[in-house]
Amino acid sequence: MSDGDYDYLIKFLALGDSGVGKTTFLYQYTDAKFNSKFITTVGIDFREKRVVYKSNGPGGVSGRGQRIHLQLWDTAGQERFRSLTTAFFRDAMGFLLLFDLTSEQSFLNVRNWMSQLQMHAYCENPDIVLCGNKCDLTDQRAVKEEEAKELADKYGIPYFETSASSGQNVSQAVEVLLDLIMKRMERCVDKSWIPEGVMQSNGHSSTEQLSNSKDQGKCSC
Amino acid sequence: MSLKLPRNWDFNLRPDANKIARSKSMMPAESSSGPVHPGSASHLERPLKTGWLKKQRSIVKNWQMKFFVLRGSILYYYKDDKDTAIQGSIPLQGTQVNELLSNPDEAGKFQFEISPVNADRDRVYQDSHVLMANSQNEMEEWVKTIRRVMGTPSSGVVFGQRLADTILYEQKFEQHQVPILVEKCVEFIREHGLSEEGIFRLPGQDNQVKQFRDAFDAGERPSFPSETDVHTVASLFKLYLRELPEPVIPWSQYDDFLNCSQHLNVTDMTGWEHLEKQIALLPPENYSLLSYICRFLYEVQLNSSVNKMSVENLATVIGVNILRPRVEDPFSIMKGTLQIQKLMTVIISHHKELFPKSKDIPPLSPVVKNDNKKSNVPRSSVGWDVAEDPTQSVTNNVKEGQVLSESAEDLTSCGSAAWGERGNDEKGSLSFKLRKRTQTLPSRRCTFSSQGEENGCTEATGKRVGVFSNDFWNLEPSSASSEADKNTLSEDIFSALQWQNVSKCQRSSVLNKSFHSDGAEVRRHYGGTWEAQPKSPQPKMENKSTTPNLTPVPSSPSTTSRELLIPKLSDSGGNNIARKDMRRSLHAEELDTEKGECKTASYEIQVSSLQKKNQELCSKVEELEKELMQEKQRNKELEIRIRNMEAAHKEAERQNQELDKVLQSFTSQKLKGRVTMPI
Repeated sequence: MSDGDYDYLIKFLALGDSGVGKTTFLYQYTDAKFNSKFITTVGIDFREKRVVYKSNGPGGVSGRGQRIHLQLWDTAGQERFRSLTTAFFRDAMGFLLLFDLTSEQSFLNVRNWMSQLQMHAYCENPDIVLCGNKCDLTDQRAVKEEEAKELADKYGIPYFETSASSGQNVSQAVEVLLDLIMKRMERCVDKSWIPEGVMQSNGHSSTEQLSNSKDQGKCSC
Repeated sequence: MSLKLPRNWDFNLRPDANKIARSKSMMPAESSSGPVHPGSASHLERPLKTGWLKKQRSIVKNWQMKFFVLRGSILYYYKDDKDTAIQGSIPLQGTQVNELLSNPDEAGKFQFEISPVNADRDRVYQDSHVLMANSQNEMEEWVKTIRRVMGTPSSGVVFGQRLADTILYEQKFEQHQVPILVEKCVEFIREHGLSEEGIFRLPGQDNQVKQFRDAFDAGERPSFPSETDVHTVASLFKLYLRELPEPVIPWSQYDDFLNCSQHLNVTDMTGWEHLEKQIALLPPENYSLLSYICRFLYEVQLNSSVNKMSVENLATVIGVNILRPRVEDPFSIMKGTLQIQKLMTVIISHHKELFPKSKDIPPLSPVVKNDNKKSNVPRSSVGWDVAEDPTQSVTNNVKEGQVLSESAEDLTSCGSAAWGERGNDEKGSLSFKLRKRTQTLPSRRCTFSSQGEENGCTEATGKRVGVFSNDFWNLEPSSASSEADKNTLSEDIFSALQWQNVSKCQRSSVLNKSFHSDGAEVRRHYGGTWEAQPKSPQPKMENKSTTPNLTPVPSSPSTTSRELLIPKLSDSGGNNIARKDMRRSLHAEELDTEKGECKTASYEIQVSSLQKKNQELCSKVEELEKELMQEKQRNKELEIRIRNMEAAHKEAERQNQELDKVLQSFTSQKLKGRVTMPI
């Protein structure tokens, strides 16, 4: 497979407080290894991985899978960068929002990250997966699963307890996010076959109207 | 089959463009300070900040959306951003601004309050205003900006205050080499955090950080309770550095410092020499602070086997708070981070050579440097003897440096004796600080041996820079497809620049050299004023024993740090003449008759009334002088702003052109892609 040989280039962005394990999470996903080095991310970085996506939705096109080139952006969680990384939000199609299950503060900050996302991402309800990382450290756990689940439900986003160390749920989380993105795109594609007039009203209508049409409304396609 | 983006992302993003456009006015911090403002033409002064906020009505308590414009020290509000009729205004002079901590049920209500300074926190005053922002960030921006507008050195505000002003203000309490906040943080972390994993990397508790910040800003200098989370303290420390209106490495030196990092390797000594030169150029307060920080970080990394914070890690997390570019655009910042990390790594690990202890600047340095100006500054109460005896002040003038630095040391030791009860725990550090300042600049060359690592770094830089230069603009999947989109993008960038421009201005910029030196001068006068204060109790005693008839005028305890040279001078001059006259006649009286004592008493009363008048006049002069200074400063700021505007405009145009090119190439690429679209 040569470099440009893929169907879609999808960009994800990992975010969350510093030290929650964004870098190791992505490293575990792309290289299936745990990097135990304690290194602070400098600025912003990215990793890449190729995957094949098979649509399994109800009306999904079966047959050959889509070749996806995943670009996973890794941001520095330092406070200094919090306002800066938002500039990169707009370029990402999906978000991996991480917190540290052993740090209550990082969990509390999930709200802040969410509001940042809602404000700066490409639309008001971008696809996000919430990951409570370091779930292997059971004895140091500070956030209950129910609490996290509840918060995720409140935002209507999937939640996973992950461990970059053991690899638990890491690829699942990314796959679910990818699935969300692909579904969203399919919806877009579907609608593009709808006659001109309807498309117009969807594509250019006011947000008020769109917000009425349930969860998939706002990012009207 | 090389389609990178499905065509329909465009549709996705179209309504989104609306959203962005809409939020432009909603997010003042980022974009709305563009060219269109209500009434901007009618006011000379450029708004420091504009944007939408909700304002709570005073009686009904419901919220109303208003467009706020901060201009000068007045916060105006309008019905909307096109309206030119002012609906109301909130003068900020004599007020304080506080974030209202929201309780969990009210999450998402980002409220802050502007109330009179002396207002009781619990009571709601008629003339206090409660405002609500859209987000935490936005609220913080507003509060910060408003504080900056109100912030005078005498108010004790620490965050967002110029380093020199803070040092100056705090000399009132004790002699400090670095802000008290920094000392407290470092002491706390030294005690509790050296073996804490991820110290300085992990964030603390936001609300606690804010509470401490507010406490310091309210003029308190609290010690941290021992149960405080050490990461909170570390976060506070980083926040302080970040909020300095001008970073520890001044903007004028930012590029020079970064350039040093490129030449820092074994074969090339130029980088090292440049670095030493740049460090020598730092203002004394900044030098002290940087040196202090690096010394402490070195201590922290000695424990890196436990706390896992190696020099590189510390350099990453602290460096970005110390070195900040003037124009805060995310991409140049991200580009700079690697260089910053490399540079900070060197500075921390070689702090011994770069900041030799022999070059430590005692806290009184501004006074010592002050030379002849200094002897003109009346030393408040100390001045009795000195001012009366012209020969003595002449010798003072002649001897200069040495004598002055000695007397400065005397003063502090007196001060520390007099203030012993208060600051007994500070004595140790005082004696350390009192080390004489040597003027020689050691031009020692230090060997620097970490080639492998450095090379690694360079390579990495290359790679990452590549990321930025090649990849970034292609990343804009959305906005490249049509002419309209193109415009939006460039507009965005332009407005972003505009915003940066504004924020630059808010920081009251020391960009202008002449302005800078002005500031320095004022600072020196302050130094003179403060330096004398701790001594006041002592000379009073001496005077009483020698000339019992006369009580020296203690320097007015209310002296603000705004005090200027001129009023002081006229004060001492006037005082001198008056006092001399009184004294002469007093002597005559004593020789004449035994009743002298009685008369002296009456004279004494006269003296004191004269002195009182003198002081009154003096304070008037001060006030006027203060106004004049402010006026001047405003003028200069305006000039700077105009210059900044022009620069930003040019830059924007240039970027616009570049963008056009990129977009065109991208569009053509995209068109190709569409042809081969699968579906």
